[in-house]
Amino acid sequence: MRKTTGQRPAGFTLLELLVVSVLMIGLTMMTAQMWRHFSAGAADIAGRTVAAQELRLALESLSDDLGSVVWATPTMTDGLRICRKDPGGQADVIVEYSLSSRRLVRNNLSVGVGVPIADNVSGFVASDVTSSVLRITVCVTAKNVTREATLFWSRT
Amino acid sequence: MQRHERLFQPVDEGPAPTRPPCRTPARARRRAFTLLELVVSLVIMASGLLAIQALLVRQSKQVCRLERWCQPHPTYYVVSQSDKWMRALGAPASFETQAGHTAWTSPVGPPFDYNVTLDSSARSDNGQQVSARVSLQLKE
Repeated sequence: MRKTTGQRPAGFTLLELLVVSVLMIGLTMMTAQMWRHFSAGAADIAGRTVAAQELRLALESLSDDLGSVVWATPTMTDGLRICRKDPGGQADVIVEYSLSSRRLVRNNLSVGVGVPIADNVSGFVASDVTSSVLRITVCVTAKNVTREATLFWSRT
Repeated sequence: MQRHERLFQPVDEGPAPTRPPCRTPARARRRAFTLLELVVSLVIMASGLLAIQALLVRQSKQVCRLERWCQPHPTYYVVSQSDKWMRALGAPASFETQAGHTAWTSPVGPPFDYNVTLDSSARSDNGQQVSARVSLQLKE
């Protein structure tokens, strides 16, 4: 910075301003590039984590219901209806899985209570492959990350 | 000429003119960063970025381990419980990656009773393993 003489106020020369501007622009571009790199990596990790977590929640709930299944059949809306043994109870329980607003909802039709099982579910399709084999496809999409799992269950 | 006249004007004997406040060297030094301050700030910023990078790498490894079971588009064969007691307890179905697995069935227990016969047994050389052959016969 230029030294002041007398009453003249201090200030920057044009050359100093140019050098500082160039340095600031370079530093800002470097920082933006690093931030973009970090934020892209963090967003990708967050999406993969959410997708794996939600898919696991959906599969674990299906596993719980299919463990003591009596019968299972697809519904008209690509959902899945399961009749299962009620642990600790005498009567069987009928539950229905359906997709509602990107949520996989488990409706206990015997009690009339619906509970969301997993979020960010982009697809849930249950269909009969043969008369004895049922196919269930669960697809989860979170932050541009998609994970899909296919289950086969045999009635025999 | 006027300048010379001013230069040679007689000196006033009155009180000394007030001197403009002199900047101390320490105060003048605060007007800009020193190289040492810049280096220290760069080192702190670099270590912070390295710490964030290490966290991201660690989290990425954990996510890879977490999603190993669901990549890419896996297919599972659901095997329901066939044992009466496992069904009564509400045990979950098992997910197999290959078809053809059958559900685990308890060989003994209600509602049937068995006669158990030990056919043969063998002990390993180090004595840590024992293998046995057992026959089960359903009671009438």
